[in-house]
Amino acid sequence: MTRLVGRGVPRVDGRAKVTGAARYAADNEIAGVLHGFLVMSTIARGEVREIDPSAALAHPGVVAVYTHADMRTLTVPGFPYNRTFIPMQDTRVHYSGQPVAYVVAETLEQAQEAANLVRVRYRAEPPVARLADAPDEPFLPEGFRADQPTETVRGDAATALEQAEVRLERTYGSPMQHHNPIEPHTTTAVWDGETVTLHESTQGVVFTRNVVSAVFGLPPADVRVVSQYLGGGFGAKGPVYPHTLLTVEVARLARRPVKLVLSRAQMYTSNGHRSEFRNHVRLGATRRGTLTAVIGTSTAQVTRTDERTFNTNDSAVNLYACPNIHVRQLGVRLDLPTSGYMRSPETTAHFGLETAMDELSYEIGIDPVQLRMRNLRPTDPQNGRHTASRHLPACYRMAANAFGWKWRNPLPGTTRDGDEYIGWGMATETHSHNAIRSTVALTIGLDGRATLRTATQDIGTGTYTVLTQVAADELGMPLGQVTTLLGDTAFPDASLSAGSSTVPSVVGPVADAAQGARDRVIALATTDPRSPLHGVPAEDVDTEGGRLFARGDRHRSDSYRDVLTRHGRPVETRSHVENTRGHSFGAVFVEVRVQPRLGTVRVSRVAAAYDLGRVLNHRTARGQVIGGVTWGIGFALMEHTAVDPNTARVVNPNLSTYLVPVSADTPSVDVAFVDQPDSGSNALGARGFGETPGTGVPAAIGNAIYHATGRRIRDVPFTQDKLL
Amino acid sequence: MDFLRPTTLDEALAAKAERPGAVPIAGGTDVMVELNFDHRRPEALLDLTGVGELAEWSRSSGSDGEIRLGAGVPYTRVITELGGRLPGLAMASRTVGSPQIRNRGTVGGNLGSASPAGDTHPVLLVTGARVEVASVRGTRLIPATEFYTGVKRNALAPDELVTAVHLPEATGPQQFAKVGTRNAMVIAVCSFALALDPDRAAARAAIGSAAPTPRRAVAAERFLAEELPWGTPGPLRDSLKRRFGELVAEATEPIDDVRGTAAYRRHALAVLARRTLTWAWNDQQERSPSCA
Repeated sequence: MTRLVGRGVPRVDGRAKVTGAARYAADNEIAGVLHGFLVMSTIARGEVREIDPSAALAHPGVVAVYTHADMRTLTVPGFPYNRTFIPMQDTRVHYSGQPVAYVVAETLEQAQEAANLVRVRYRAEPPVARLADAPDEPFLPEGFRADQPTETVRGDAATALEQAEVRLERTYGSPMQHHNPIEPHTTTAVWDGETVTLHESTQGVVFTRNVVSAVFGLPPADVRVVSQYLGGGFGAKGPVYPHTLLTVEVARLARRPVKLVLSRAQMYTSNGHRSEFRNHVRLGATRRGTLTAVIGTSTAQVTRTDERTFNTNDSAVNLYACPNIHVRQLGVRLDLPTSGYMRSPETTAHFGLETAMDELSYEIGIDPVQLRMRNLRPTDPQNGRHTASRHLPACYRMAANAFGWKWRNPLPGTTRDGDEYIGWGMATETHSHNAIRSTVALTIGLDGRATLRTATQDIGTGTYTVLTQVAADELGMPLGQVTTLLGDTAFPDASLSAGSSTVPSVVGPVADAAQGARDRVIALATTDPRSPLHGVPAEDVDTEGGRLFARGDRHRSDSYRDVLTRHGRPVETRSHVENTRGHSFGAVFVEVRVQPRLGTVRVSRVAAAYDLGRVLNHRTARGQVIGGVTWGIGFALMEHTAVDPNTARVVNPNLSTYLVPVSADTPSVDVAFVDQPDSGSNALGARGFGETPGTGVPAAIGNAIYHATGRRIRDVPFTQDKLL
Repeated sequence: MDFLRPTTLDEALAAKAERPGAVPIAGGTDVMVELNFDHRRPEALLDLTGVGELAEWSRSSGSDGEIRLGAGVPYTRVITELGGRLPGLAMASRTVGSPQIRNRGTVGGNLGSASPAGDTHPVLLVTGARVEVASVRGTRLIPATEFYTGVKRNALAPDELVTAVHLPEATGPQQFAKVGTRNAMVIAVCSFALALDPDRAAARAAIGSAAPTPRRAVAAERFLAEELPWGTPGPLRDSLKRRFGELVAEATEPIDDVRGTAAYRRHALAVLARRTLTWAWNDQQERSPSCA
């Protein structure tokens, strides 16, 4: 019955994107709009003493300069607003790059220039910007999400470690990193009486609506958020950030629509980041390589105003079958912006675990794949898909075969090609995915065309395409007969496009709504004396290519269009089906070439295989792997936000000094999928996947560098100076 | 900010004489970055892309062939049209940015910016290039060795424009090597160029991104001239290559920055010096009739 699901269907929005027809959030032309520009604090800790807007106000085109003195008291919302204060409510400065004034002018250029003319005087206090500068201050935060505790205890890890035949104790580190979606954050706020519409680049229109509604005391129905297309989010646009709230308030004060687009530099303090991270890992094992204890203590940056950490040590708890586990996630208060979710947050701690597993494999003297196979967590027959995969061994096997792992020379530092040392490394890939209650509405019009409406969004991953495939298949229509509309709170509430949750959350309701609509149309036909299908039992009617057929007698047929035209009214269905959280899995194998005299590392080959349940679209799934592996290469080799320890300012807030991989850094990736439906997922057997690929890549690259050179580097990025 | 768009060189020179504060822009690969980062706000931009005569190259008729490379010829054309005659410059041009940037960026622009990290500077220094600059007062040729006067400063007078670079055709092996923090689209952590002139038993070596200006490594050059076994076939002694690397490292004056440390730059330049010398010498051996 399936015709489209599972195939590598090209993007239904591809043409709109390459021709420029796709409307991104800042592409609106709203009459009378004012352009906003934020004035950011230049100190990281202290107080605003005085703001002198006179030069800015004298600049041509400037309409107003708003400060804390102009703002109403706003209600600080809860999650997904991840700060305990809203800037510009008082004079306190908590980080460098905090909004202290908001300029509005007739043009963007005027607003930007005037923002430079606002004079701010501060009383500054010395900031602390690095974990290393606060060595005695880690504490165990309370945790802000019930499903993500900051401490997990299983068995007696301390005793088990003490009694272990083999013990390993290591510390791994990663620096602050930033998401850098190519489309910057943007908000346009348009008030109409007591209702407001936001054109917003967000991974969650419903989240944004709920937060704005809470902050401004508006009924949710009076807030509309529109986000039709995104140029990337990577978690930077998942939570709601202050600039959105400030724009809504400023548009109210100015009594005109206001459009704000953050500059690239402002995006290094405005929308969260991956926090600087230390991970102290202790493993206990038998001489055969069975894990007996896993103790992981991570330390992440938090702030003086809140203590939220976002990089859970999920794989230490869930990936391997160890009876004794103690995981703690500590925080250290620094004078930096609140961190946040950044693509595959679990990578941050997983890098330490998967490097430690590699170190253990050399310590014991067994193959790194064997060590992992020996410690696989058995699938819980009741609820197995949550934390384990019975297909993970197949992932190791498929990726290892594609890579040629069996030819591996186990001795580090002994494989050369001219000046270059060649090394092979591997790691397990895994990430959790969420499932968020989602509702979809499906309408079949008198023209027989179907329109799907739901308030999730496509952040570039292919959501429009996958949902269209699912609806078209269930309806029995060609792809082009179904239109999917997303990214608008005028549609039924649906999942955030984050936490790898879109497919598991939305596909079930889409399939269900489409089945419901199809059944309604079949019923209309079989009960209509004018239909050739009149009198055929409904269960004997098939749908295909936009037509309805009597099974066994294909000459008796009708079409959606004819049925609907005779009916004279559209057919509408609505559905929500709740799915459960889970994990996806895989294995990644990497070859590196190291120039030992220059310390340069080139990733020359990557092979990976995954179990994500059923693959709905091989093309978009493969796209996620290419993206994830590229992120992993950036994490391993270059990404690093440099913070000046004296001023707590980001010193490389641009893409010419914050390096991400380019084509020459990223080999093509050999990708394979197990592609077996997960019976526990009602999303046609598919699980969430987007954040799984790449999670193991930083460790796999470090493991390959060790295999190439015999040098173990435990802090990313693995830059040239560290490898000399 | 005014935008001036002359269509002839005379118009461009007149504009520059009248508005010495106008910043010339060719490919814009440096100037636009500086504008976007608000590092400078010139009173005017002088767009030279409309001046067709700047986008041409020619070869002098003399026997010792010299290329006059117009300041507006993009890197892509240097690579495709001059790779045989100016191998060192073509090698450096291949390491610039991305295809799009190589389609726009020019050697003239590299000279105008005079960044210590500019990719073509070490090659211009080792090939004996002369920079042709012009103003309404006339034209003069500045040896590349005298062109770079400080960090992002050059020998141009306020009313002058770079109009061309004069480069002798290669008479011996030329090499260029660069270390970056990724494999493309990156500013050099350090770079190195080497040219051997076997007819004169001479060598030139120059470093980039490891001192306030691109500069020659004169002691290293002298060492090569004296110690290279010019007439003798066979590989070079390791001790000779090592000493050459040390002398190149001694010629540096690097700083720590976000791309790399001073110590790394010194170390890497010694490695690049040894490698490029090996490649150039092997190349020389293959050309030399005694090996044929």
